[in-house]
Amino acid sequence: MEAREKLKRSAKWISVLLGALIFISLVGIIYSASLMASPERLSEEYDYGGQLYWRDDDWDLSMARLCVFGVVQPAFLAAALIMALKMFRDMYKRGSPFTADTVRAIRRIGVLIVLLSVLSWPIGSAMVKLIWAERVTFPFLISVNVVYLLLGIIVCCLSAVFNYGYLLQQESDETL
Amino acid sequence: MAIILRLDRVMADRKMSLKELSERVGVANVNLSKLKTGKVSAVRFSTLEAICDVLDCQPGDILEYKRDD
Repeated sequence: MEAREKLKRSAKWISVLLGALIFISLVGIIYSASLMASPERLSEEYDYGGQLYWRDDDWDLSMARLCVFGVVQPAFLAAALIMALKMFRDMYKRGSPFTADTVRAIRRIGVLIVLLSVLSWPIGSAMVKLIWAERVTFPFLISVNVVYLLLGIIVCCLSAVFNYGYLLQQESDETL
Repeated sequence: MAIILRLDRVMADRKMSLKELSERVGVANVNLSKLKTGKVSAVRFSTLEAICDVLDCQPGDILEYKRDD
């Protein structure tokens, strides 16, 4: 019983932390989108600032970087964080991490991270080409982020472990 | 199912209600009801021991094996 209470307490605090992270991600997305909406301001502001990702002589690629790292990847991560938040809320309500919903949520988060690793550059470059078709010269960009890809695969494997935990939990619940 | 629970029969012999049995065994009424209707997949030795102690019977009086045809 004490372990269950501990789990509930942890789930509650993690939910609060995830809520804060989701808020930060959304603020970041809105800020990046506002920068993308007025690129003149951005190039003026960062012209002499030595900004790592922004170079005026390489405008279109810099804009694609801003789109990928400022909008697309945070959007994917925010979606994963929202799923994680829902999962921890369920965990708080039910007092057990081994439920069918948890297994499904972990698998979905894993798939989302894999998609993030593969799709963030194609989506980002396509968005930039779509918005500034006359100014963008680069072709459709494809790049795979290996770290996110491995992380996604590990999370998917974790869902298999949780699935086994769920089966054991069911067995335990049906034992009197 | 091959294993049949005869808890209701033993309880009737001892004239004991489900409520009384659940209080004396220390298992929730709902869970004992599931056990009575055979809706559980396993029984702990400790639970079986407590039931046999209260009903003053043997495990064989409660559990019965019936071969599946």
